[in-house]
Amino acid sequence: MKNNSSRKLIHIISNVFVMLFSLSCIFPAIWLFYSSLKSKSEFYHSPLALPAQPDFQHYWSILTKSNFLTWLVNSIRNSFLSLFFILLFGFIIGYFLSRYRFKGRNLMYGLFLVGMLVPVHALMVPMYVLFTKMGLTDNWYTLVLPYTALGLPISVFLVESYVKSIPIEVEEAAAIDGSSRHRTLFSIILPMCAPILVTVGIIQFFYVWNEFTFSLILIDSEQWMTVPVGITLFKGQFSTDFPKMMTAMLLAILPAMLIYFIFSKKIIKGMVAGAVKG
Amino acid sequence: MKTCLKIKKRTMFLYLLPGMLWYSFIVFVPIALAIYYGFFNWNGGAKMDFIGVSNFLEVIQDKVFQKSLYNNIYLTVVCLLGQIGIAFLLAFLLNGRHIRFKGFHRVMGYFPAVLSAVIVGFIWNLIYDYNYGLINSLLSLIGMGDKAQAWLNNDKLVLPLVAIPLVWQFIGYYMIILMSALASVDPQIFEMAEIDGAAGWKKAVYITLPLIKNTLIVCVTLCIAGNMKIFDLIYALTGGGPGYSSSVMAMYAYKTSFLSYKMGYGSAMSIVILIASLVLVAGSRSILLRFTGGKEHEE
Amino acid sequence: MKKRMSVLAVMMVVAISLGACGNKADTGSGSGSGSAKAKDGVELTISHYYLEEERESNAVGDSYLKMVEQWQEENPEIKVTQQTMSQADYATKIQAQAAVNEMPDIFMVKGSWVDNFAENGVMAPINEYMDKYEHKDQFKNGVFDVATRDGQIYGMPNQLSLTSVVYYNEELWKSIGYDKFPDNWEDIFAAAEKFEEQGISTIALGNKDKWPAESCLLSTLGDRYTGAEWTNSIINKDGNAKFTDEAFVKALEHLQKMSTGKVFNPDFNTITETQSAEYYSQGKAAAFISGHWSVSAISSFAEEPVLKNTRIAILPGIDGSKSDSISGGCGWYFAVNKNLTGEKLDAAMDFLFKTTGYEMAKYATETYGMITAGQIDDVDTTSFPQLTQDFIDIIGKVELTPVYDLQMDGAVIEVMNTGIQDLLNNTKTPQELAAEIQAEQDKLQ
Repeated sequence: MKNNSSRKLIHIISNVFVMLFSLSCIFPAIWLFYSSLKSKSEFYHSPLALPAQPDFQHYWSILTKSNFLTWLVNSIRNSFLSLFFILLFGFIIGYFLSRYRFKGRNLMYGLFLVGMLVPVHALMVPMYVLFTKMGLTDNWYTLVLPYTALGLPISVFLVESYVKSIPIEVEEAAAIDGSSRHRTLFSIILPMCAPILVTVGIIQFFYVWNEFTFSLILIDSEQWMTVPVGITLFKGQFSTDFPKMMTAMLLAILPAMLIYFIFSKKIIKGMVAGAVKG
Repeated sequence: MKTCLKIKKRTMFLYLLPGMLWYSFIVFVPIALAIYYGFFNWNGGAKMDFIGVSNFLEVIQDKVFQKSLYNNIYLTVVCLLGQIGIAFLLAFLLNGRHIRFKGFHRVMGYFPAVLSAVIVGFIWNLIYDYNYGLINSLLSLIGMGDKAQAWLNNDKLVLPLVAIPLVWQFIGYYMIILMSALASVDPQIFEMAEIDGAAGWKKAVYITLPLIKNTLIVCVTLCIAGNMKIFDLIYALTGGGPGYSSSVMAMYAYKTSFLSYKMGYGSAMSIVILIASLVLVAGSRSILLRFTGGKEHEE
Repeated sequence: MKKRMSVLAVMMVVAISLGACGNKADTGSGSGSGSAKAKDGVELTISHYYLEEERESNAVGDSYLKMVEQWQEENPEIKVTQQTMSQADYATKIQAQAAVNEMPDIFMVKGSWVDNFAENGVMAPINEYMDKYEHKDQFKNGVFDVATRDGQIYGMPNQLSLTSVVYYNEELWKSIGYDKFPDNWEDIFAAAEKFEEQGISTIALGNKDKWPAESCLLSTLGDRYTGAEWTNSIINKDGNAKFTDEAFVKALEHLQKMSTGKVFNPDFNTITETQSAEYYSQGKAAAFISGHWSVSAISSFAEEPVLKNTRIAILPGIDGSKSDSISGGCGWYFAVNKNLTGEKLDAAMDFLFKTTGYEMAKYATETYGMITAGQIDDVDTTSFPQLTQDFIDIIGKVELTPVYDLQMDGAVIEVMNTGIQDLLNNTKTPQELAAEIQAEQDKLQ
C-alpha cells in the first residue's frame, strides 16, 4: 500500500518536473511572439502583459519592404542541400567506420574529432582566404560547402555509435539471402538508422538555418543572402524598439519553426518507430 | 566478421572518397593556413613579417587567453553535468509509461535549441535586466528589492549566469540524441522497471547505461567540443564583459583578429584553442572508456 | 526505403529549382539602374553601414543614401550595387576583405584603420582627382589629416564626428537647484546624491558595447587632463607620451570616481548606448553624454516634455580650468579600391566626390543642420528644430580634440575599452589599467 502511494508521488513529481521544463522551453517563444504585436511604449510599460490591441504592422513593414522572399529561398536551399550531403556522407562514412577495421580508420576518426573542435569564428580569416582564392565566395553553393563539412563530424560520430547497436546478424542474413553489399547498405541499414538520421537532420537543420558568421563573410550580394543576415538590416544599432527587434528575430526563425512543427509528428515517429529491437 | 560481409577495398574507398575530400578541403586547408599565419606578424594584407614561434609562445602566456580558457573549462564542466545530466533524466523519464503528454514534451524540450543565439541572448538579457528583468521583479515582489542589481555586470556571478541559459538551451539537444539511442533499447526493460518501482529504475539505469555507452561518449565529446568553441551566445549575452569576466577563447581570438587586427596572433590563438580542446576531449574519452570498461572500438 | 530516397530526391529538385527562381527574381531588383544597359559594363560595388531602415533616425545615413540615389539617376549607364550591413558587421567583413585584398570598389575606412590599409596598399590615393575638384578649398581645416599618409590622401570624409556633447534635461536640474548643467565637477557629484534620492540617474551611460565610455567621455575628459599634445603623441606612436603618465591616470581616476559616485545608472555595463538614450528620453536620467548622432535619436525617441526641456552643454573643465573643447573630428572616410584602373577608376572617383565630400556636406547641412567637414556658409538655421539650433550654437564655440577610438590603434583601444568596464566596476585600479594599455601601446613600433 505504502509502496503504491510513494510510487504515485514519484509519478506526480516527475510529471510536474517534465512539464515545468517543457513550459520553460516554450514560454519565451510565446512571449516573444505576443510582445512583437505590442507598441513600443506598451512593451516598456509592462513587458509581460498581453497586447491590448495586437498589431501586425512590424511584420508587414519588414515583409513588404525587404527581399525577404529571396533570403528565404536562399536559406531553404542552403538548408536542404547541406542536410542532404551531411546525411548522405555522414551515413556512409559513419557506417564504414563502425563496421570495418581498415588501415587509416583511426586517422579518419582523428580527422573528424579535429573537425568537431575547430573554433570556426577564430578561423574566419583563413577560411575567407581559402574561399576568395578559390573563387568560391558569393554563389548559390558557397554556404553549402562549409555547412556540410562542419556538420559532418557530428553526423559521422552519431551514426557510427548507432550502427554499433545494430546487430551484425541482420546484414549477414541479408547477404545469405543474396542481397548485395550496396543493396544491404541502402535498403536495409539506412532505414534502420532512421532514428539517428532524423536526429542528425534536426540538429543540423537548425544549425544551418541560424548560422550567421559564414553567411555574413562569404556572401556579398543580396541575391544570395540568407534570412539571419538579411534580417539584421532591420535591427540596426540605433533602435530600441524592442517589439520591432523581436519581430525581426522571430521572422528569422519562423520559417524553420514552421517546418519543424509541421514535421514534428513524423520526425518523432521516425525517431521511435524505426527503432531497432535488439 | 564473416566473409560474406567482406567488401573490396576499392569499393569502400570510392564510398568514402567524396565525403572525405569535401570535408578535408574545407576543414584542413584553413587549419593549415592558420598554422602558417601563426608564424607571422600580420595585420591583414600584403605585409607579413616572419617571427617564428613567438606568437604561439605569447598566446600561452597571455593573461586574457588564460582567463578565457578557464572560463571555457568552467562552462564545459557545468554543461557536462547540467546539459547531459538533465537530458539523460528527461530522456529516461520520457521512455517510461507514466509521463503524460510525451509528444508535447518531446517537441517542446527541443525548442530552445531551435532558437538562434541572438534570440536566446535577447531573452536572457531581459530576464537579467535591471529595470524590466524578471529576476529583479520577483525580488521586489517578495520584498527583497534591495538585492536587485544589474546581474550581468557582477563579475563574480556573470559566469554562472551565462551558464544557465547555455544549459537551458541545449538540454533538448542531448535529450533527442539520447532518446534516439534509447529507442534501440528493449522497451521491456522499462516495463519491468515500472513494475518493480524504484529498485527497478535503478536496475534499468544500470542495464541501459552500457547499452547507450557509445552514444553517451559522443554526447560528452559533443558537449566538450561545443563549449570549447562557444561563441554566439556569449557574444549576444555579455560580449565577454564586464571586462574579460565572461570572455571565452573563440571570442578573444575573433576580437584579436577583427578588432585588434592582429591576424597572425589570432591565427596562432585558434591553433592553440584547437590543441587545448583536443587534449581535453582525448583525456575525457580515455577516462570515460576506462570508467565504462572495455575499449570503444577494438583495434 | 525507395520512398525515402525519392523524398530526398524530390527535396533536392525543389531546392535547386527554388534556387533557380530566386536567381531569376533577383536580376530585376539587383540595382536601381533599371533596364538601362550598363555602358561598357562598368559596375560599382559600394560597401557601407547606412541601413535603409534607419534613414529616419540617422541624418548622416539619409544624406548619404540620398547622394547615392542622385548619382545613380545622373549616371544610369553605370550599375551601382550597395552592400550594406550594421556597423559592427561591416567592421568585421571589411577586415577580412582587406586581409586578401578583395575590397569593394568604394568602401568606408575608420581613421584607426588607415595606417594598416595604407601600409598594405588597399586604398587608392585621391590626390590627382582632388587637385581637379572644384570644391577642394571649401573644406574645414584638417579634415583630411586622419586619412593622409606621406602626402597621399586616401579618403573623402562624409561626416564630422562629434562624440562628446552633453544633452541635459533643464527641468530636472532646476528641480534640484541648478539653472543649467554645472560648469564644475563638484556640483555634478553633489547633484548625483540628490538625483539618487529621487531615483533618477544623473548621467545615462550604456557601455555594453564598450566604446561609449571611452569615445564619448574619456576622449574629452582625457584631453582636459593631458592636453592635445599628449594625445597626438600617442596617435603618432612616437613614444614620448605614455598612458602611464600621471595626467592620463588622473583622467582614469576621474572616470572611476564618476562611477563610484553613482553618477551613472546602475546597469551602465549591461545596456547599449541606444538603451541609455532611451533612459534619458523617458526622463529616467538627467543628462546623457553622446555624439552628434543623438540629436536625431533623441528627437525621435524622447517624450514631448523631455524633448522640450533638452538643452546642450559641454563637459566642465578640471579645477576651474577652461572648458572650450570636446572630442570630435573626421574619423570615417570613403575610400576607393587601389586595384581599379581606367574607366572604372574614373567612375569610382566621380562617385566618391559627388556622394561624399562637399556636396553631401552641403545637403546634410542644409537639410538637417549637420556640422560637417565642408565649409558651408550662409545657412539659415532658424528653420531647424530648437535642439539642432542649440547644437550648432555650442559646436561653433568649441575646439575639437581627437576622438580616441577613431584615431588610436585598434588593439590599444580594445584593451582600453574592455578595461574601462572593469574600471567603472571598481574591479581594476586606474594604475593597473594604464599599465595594461601602455603594454599594448609598447607593442607598436
